[in-house]
Order: sequence, then structure tokens, then C-alpha cells
Amino acid sequence: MSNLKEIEKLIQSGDYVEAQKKTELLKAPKATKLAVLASIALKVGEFQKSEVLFERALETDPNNILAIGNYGQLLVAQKQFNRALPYCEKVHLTEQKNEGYLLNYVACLAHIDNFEKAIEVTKNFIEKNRKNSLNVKLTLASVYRAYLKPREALDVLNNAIEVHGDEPELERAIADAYAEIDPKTASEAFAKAIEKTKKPLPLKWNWSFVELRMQNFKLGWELYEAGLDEKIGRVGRPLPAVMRQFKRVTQIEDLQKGKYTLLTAEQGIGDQILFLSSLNEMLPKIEKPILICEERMLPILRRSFPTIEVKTYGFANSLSSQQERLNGVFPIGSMMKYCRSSKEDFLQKRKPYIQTNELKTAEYKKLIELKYPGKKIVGVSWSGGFWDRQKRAKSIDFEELISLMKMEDHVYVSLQYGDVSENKKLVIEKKLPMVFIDGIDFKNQIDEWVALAAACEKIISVSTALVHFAGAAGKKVDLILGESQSPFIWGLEEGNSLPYENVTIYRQREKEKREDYIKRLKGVL
Amino acid sequence: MNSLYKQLKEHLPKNTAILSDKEFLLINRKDYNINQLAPVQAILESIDVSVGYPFRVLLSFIDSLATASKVNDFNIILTDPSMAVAAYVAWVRCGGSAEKGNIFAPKGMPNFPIKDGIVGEILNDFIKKINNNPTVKFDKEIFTFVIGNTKTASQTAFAATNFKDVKKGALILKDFARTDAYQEREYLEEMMLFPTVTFEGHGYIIKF
Repeated sequence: MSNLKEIEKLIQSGDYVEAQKKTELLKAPKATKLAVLASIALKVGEFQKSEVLFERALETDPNNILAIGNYGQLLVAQKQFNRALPYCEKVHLTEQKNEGYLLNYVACLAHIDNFEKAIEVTKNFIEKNRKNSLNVKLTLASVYRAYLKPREALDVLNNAIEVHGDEPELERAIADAYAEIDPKTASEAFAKAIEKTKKPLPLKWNWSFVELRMQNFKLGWELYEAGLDEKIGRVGRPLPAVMRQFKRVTQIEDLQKGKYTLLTAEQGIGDQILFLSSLNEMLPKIEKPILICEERMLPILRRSFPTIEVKTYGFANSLSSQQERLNGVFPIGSMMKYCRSSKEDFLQKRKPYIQTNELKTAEYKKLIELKYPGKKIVGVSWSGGFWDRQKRAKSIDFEELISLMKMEDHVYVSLQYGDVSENKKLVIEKKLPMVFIDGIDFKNQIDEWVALAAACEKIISVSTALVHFAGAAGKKVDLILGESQSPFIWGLEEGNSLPYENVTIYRQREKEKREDYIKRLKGVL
Repeated sequence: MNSLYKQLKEHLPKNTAILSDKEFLLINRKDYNINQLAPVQAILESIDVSVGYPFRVLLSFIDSLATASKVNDFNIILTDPSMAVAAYVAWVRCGGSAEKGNIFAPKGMPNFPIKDGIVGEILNDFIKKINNNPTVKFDKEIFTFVIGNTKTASQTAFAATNFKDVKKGALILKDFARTDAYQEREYLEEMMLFPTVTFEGHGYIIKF
């Protein structure tokens, strides 16, 4: 005879074989037995088996709490938040004191951008349960940050300090929250937190952005190298899988003479363009460089850097057995520490380095001028970012953009990638002077996209890759930023950008209302 | 009907489509075919060569075999110069260089393009190492690829003779299942060589 508690202990101790045997002898409803077997499979890492068992358990008894809760957890672990939500909600409402169920539910709510609900349930949990854990408070702070409310996150964390003391995790979370409000204090907080932590890498990674944003480039780029570590994962600087089979080199001194070095593109395409600002200065320092990039970047990079071989990741993969000829992989972000270690470096060395497709540009310009003779051509892009959090911070409402338009003497060209069908409808409905060029996939036909951008006299854009391409090609860009969360390279001030001479930054000031900001922009753009 | 899939589904890897009955189960794993063929594409592009699907599958097979074999040294014996690309794929993916790898091929190898950079270096080493001497003398103890065609009985005989005493290696014959290649098949059988035939009709034997 066995009971659930005994099985739970066996699972906790990692004796899954014995736990499975005991479960088979368990006198319990069929759904419970199946749910326990599913949980064991989940612990062992047999996700598919676990999913099938959970589904069987729920077919047998749709109200079995163990099955609902653990199935929800499985789906959260697999990042299937939309599927997990109903299970996590149901089990949280039934077992309101269970911390694990709460955290799963909050993860789902945050993922679908229902931050208000996520905050509400977490706060309720903290109020109702006296023994609230640090984990729950860290989660609440993290939800506030994702909701772009770093000050509220900071309040939660400062209150937590009174109860939990200066736990390393808490200190790191405080430093992270300050990073979005007050970089100087954040820098001090990171320096303090790093002394105590046993896991310095994630901390260094987050700290790097604070220093880079404050234009302390020497320390910033040094800390930025932490992002290459596998422990940082996807949010760091993961190299494409095919490049991980090569030795990684980040120091020029480690390059052997006579061997080839695969300078590898990393991060988003905007970052890649920024990093490539130092390529021409690096080339004399590297004997046999090959620039490795995505296929879609080939035409523009081959044209812009004619003295270096530019190849695809697929080509690099074909060299995996030729490692004796290679120094290995040198991520292009690691070039910056050699060429852009101070503000002065940027200012002295900035000049256009991206060559656009001039023939295409002339073609596009002619087309637009035919339809809108005598009008000033202005490119626009209003949405950017890869991560949800970035998307929220990097976008401007399309209606706001319309309010900035000068209808009489300008024609606007959409340079926005992704689905713009709704925006298009609105433009037709309101008869706005805006052109959408069909037939170019802006995400994949980069060369055409940039050629179209180059056909514009100026560009008004939020922070997207477009700003880097246009800026690096010497085009005039008005960059619209929100109050916080802008990429580190745009610094903290307004005015001329550091990496690109013709990019002018506009930033919503602290305590400036959104409508006042838009009004201000209308006056200057 | 209680198909094999129903019985096994919780143990199967992720897949995009299933074909199954009580005796048969075929699972389609995401992009499997493209993943297999993609590495060869980059090599072909780098030497300005384009080939059709069946030959590409053969090259992909050589590519996988060469990458997986992780050999210190190797031989490539080519029985038909028109298969030079296959020899080059094996060469690149086995890590062929001035120090590593030997190639034996009949006269009449096609001209490879002149290339700069790392591709030029690899090609130069490859071309320099080609031995056109009609009497092939090679170390039978090291991994040996015998790559050929079944266009003529003499080519098949040459391949079989050289592969017979190889300790470790692969015999790869393009279009082995061709209807009119029955004499070549019979010849191999007489030599106690029984190639496995792929969907595309190529034949291969692997010795490890």
C-alpha cells in the first residue's frame, strides 16, 4: 500500500523508479494516478509522455486539481502560455495558497500582456498569505518592470529588503529596476551586488547596458562579453547554432597567424550594423577575416565591405571539418571594445559605411516622384523590437504618427515591416499622403528595403534596425524614443546620436505627458 | 484500427505528419529533408556548381558520412572523373588539407574554378593531391571512400577491386539501381559485395 505523500517524497528525492512503482499500487481515483505518473514523467524530462498522461487524466476527470495544476505547469515550462492559461487560472482559484500555482498563473498573464491582472493576483496573494516568499515579491517586481513601471517595481523591492534583508537576488533586482530610472544609482547598485553574488555573469550582462547607456564604453564593452556565455541563454548574445561548433575567440591576441577568422554576425540586424561600424578599423588587425552573416544581409554587406569575403552561416557550417585552417569564431560585438572604447572614438570615427543599392534607390525615387511630383519624400516606421517588452517600448501609435504628418507638401513612405494591413486601410480611409510599396518583404529583402529608405529625403522612425541602416548610410533620421527602455546606444540625452552623425534623437522627458511630447515633436520634425 | 502510432505516440519524437497502420509507421520530422541537404548547398555554391536532386542526395549522404567519420587520415578513390564534385565534398568534410587526405582518380578530371580565400586554399590542396597514376596503391588500413558510377562495367570492376580489401570505408555507386546496370550488379555479387540501394537508386556499402 502506498500514499500520495510517500510518493511525493520519493519524487522530491529523485527516486522516480520507486515513485512509479508506488503509484501503480496507489489506491486513488484513476485520474489522480495518471496525474502522478504524468508528474513523474515531467520530472524525468519525458515531456510528450507527460502531456499524453495529463490529457488522459483530464479526460477521466476534468476537475482533477492535481492534473490541472501540473498540466498547467508543464505547458508553462514549454512556454505555451496561451494553452496553459485556463488550467493555471482554474488551479490558482481553487488552491489560492499555493505559491507554485500562483507563479504559473502570473507567468501566463504577463505573457498575454494582462499586467494589471497579474499585479492584482500577486498583490492579493501577498496580502492574504503572511508567509509570502521573496520569490513572489521578485515576481511582482518583474511584472511591474515588464509593464514599464520600474518605480513601482522598486517600491516592492525596497519593502522586501525590510523583511528579507540584503539577499543577493534582491540586490540584483534592485539594480535592474534602477537601470531603467537612474543609471548612475544602478551602476553603483550593480558594483555592490556583484561582490556578493555567486552568479556574476547574469549580473555583468545586465550591468553592461547601464554602463553603455551612460557611455562608459570601456567598462561597458568589457561587461558585454558576459552575454556570450551559454548561461545567459537567449537573452544574451547566443550565436547561431551552426557557429557553436567552432572555437570562440574574442581577443585579437589569441588569433594565430596564417589562419582564417570567422567574424560572425550576432544579435538583431540593427545591432549588426552598429557593430560593423568598427569592421574597417579591425580588418588590418585580422590577417584572414571572413564575415559570416545571414543570407538576407549578403548583398548589402558585400557592397559595403568589398575588401572582405562575406559568406553565409551555411558556408561556415561547410568548414566545420576544416578547423585546422581556422582561428574560430569572433563575434562582431566583440570588435567594439577595440574600436569604440570612448565617446571620442565614436565622434572621431563616425562616417557613412553602408553602401545602398543606388540603381534601386533611383528607381524607387522616380516611381514616387511620378505619383507625387514636387513633394518632399519622408520615410516612416512606427513599430519595432523583438521581445514583447521591447515592442511595447519601441512603438509609437499610428494615430500619433498621423498627427505628426505635414499633409500639404510631404509624401510619406511606409518603411514599416510586418503586417501593415490595418494601417493601410486607415490611410485609404483618411486619404493620407502615404505610400505603401507592395511586393517587397522588408524583413527578408533587406537590400531593397534600405534602397527604398535611401530614396527618402529623411526618415522619421522609432528605434528599429532601419535607423541603423539609414544612419550608417548617412541618411537624415529623426528618431522618436519613449520615456525609458530605449537601446543603450541612444544614450540618455536628446540631439545628435553618438554612432550616426545624421540621426537626431527625440526623447520623451521625465514627467512630460505623452500628448505634450507629441505636440513638441510636431513643432520640430 | 489500433495503429502502431496509437500504441507508440507517447514515445515518439516531435513530428509534423504521420503515416501509420498496424504494421507501418512513418514520421515526418520537421525540415528533416532540408536539414540533410542544406550543408551540401554551401559547398556547391562556393565552387559554382549546380546539380539536380538525386545527385544532391548522394552528395548529402557523402557529406554526412564524411562528417560523422571524424577520421585522422583518409583516401578517396574516384572511378569516374565526372564525379569529381563528390570527391571534393568528401575532401572538404573529412578535413582534407596539404597534410591530410589522398585522392586517386583517372585522368580527365574537370577543371575547378579559380577561387580566392579559404575556398581557393582548400581547392588548391585538393587539386595538388590528385594522383592520376593508373596503378592505385593506397593504405587499406585508413578510411577509404570509393566513389563511382555504374556507367560501364570497367568502372564498376575498378571500384569493386579497390574496395574489396579496404578495412574501413564506403563504396558509393551513383545510379546503381539503373535497369541496364544489371551486369554491374552481378559483377559485385560475384565479388560478394551487396550494396544497399537508396530511394534515389544509388548503391552503398559501409565498412567500419
